Amino acid sequence: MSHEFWQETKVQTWRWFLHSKRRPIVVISGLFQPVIWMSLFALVFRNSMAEVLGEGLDYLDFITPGALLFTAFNAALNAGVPILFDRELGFLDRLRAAPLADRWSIVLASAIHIAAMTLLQCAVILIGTTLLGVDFRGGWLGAALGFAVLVLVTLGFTGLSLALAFQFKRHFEMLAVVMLMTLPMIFLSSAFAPLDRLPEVLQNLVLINPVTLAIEPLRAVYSLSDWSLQTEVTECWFGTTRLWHCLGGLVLFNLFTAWWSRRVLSKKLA
Amino acid sequence: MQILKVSEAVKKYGDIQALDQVSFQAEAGSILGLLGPNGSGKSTLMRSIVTLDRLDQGSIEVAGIRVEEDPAAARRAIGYAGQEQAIDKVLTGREFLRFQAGLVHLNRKQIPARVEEMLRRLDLLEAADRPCEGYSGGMRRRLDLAASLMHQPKLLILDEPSAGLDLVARRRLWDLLAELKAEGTTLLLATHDFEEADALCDQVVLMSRGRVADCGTPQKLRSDLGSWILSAALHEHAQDGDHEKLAALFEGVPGKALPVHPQKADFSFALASSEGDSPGAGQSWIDRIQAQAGQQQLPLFSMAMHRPTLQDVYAAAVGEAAE
Repeated sequence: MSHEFWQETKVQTWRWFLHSKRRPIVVISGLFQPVIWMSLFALVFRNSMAEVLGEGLDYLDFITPGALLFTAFNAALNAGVPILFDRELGFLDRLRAAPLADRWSIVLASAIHIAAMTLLQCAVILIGTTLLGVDFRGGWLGAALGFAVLVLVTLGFTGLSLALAFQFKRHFEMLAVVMLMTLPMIFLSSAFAPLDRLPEVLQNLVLINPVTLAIEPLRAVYSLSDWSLQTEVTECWFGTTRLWHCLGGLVLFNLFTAWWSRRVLSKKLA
Repeated sequence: MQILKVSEAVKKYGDIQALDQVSFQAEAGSILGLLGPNGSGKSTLMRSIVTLDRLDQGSIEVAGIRVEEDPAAARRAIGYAGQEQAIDKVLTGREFLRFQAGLVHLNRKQIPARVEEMLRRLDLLEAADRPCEGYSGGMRRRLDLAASLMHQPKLLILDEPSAGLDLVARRRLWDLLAELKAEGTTLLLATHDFEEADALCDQVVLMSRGRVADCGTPQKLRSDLGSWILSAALHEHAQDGDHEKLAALFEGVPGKALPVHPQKADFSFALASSEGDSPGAGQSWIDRIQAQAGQQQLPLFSMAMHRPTLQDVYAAAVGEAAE
């Protein structure tokens, strides 16, 4: 990549960070949303889930990985919205008419900003839940795997969202699709309830949800000191699902979103 | 030397023919105006030149670079300020220009001086550290222009540059555009403001329904149309058939009838240049027509004459009166 490409990426990233700094409500609401969800779910289900989860695992321990994932997923899925506003206001045309070394810098700058903001939000949740007594038991390797999972989720859904942003003409169309995707992807996942407690039909559906594919490895490294890639996640129609199956599925999902978003963006940015 | 050359440009959106065999060229250091109403194809043409759209057929050359073959190189020669005044309202004016400087790859050391220079030149120094959200329409337009000029483009493209500006802001903008031209920048401006085109442009391309209806210097276009425009208005109580009688009075006059705007006149006529340039030439025809109208008891309310304007030229070229 040329010096010009990095210069234009840097200046566009700087612009996004200025937006976040001048309009902190977006960052704050992104941060508080999972905190509110976590608090409400913990309050409502803590007692009733105690029996389900068994000894040694508090409901707050259980939903913390889900909240982290929810934060990353939610921020990434909305990554394209500012681009869509830029498009509606004619600002995207300014960028496209500028002598950019490569128009992919528009996408990269947005992705860097979203990834950074998401990781910042995750860090705040991590610190907050640690202060509330949630333990991370997976060790340094587990932390690295957890970080990689968050990055994969952020990149996968950011790519998807940016591609969608270039597909739609108006922001309300995209917001409708994002809303439509968010609820089923969160509730048809193992974010708030354990997989093996779901009806079998639903379990199979939940298992192919990329959010579940990300939550399970994260939950494993969070709650198990002896986790391994062979750690059992659940039993399903093809037998025992293990951690590496989830990771493999997540990587496949990322490969798909990378292929599809590249295809869309190459056409739209040409 | 030609800076812009458009050859047989064709563009269709579904069934709509946005551009149909459009050809023209602009010389270095000149101002070329694309003149026409909304929907005449001006914006499509500009978007194709700045590589935001692609032509279906034809070609565009900017500073010797074929836009279709090397769009990135063409963009380096172009500055573009679109209709929307695409500025980021969250940023301050200074930040916005720094942002633009990065986009056009100015050297890091050059950026502060260049930003300062543009702020001073566009009279934005005082407001430079305020968020653009609070800028007036004129200030936003100037900032947009400053951003487009950041990399000193050879060709500056402006889409409706004075739309929404008050008279003072418009006059300041015109002065600035004239300055840029004097410095050697070529300007292509799309406008539906005939007065603006007349005041600024060295050459005008009249567009209608995606086609070039006529082109040339404003002076030549006006003089080709005629020496005087004679217009006549009937009384409000004129009856059916009076319009036809009025038109018949002009039958012997050398020149051609023009489409008229119903709220402005009932009949308009371009007197051929061969009749002479002096006011007397036009006046003698007015006297004659008024006398004939009197004889026929035609309820003629008024007659007037004026020098041809680009608006008249446009009406004659496209066969309909402009608003």
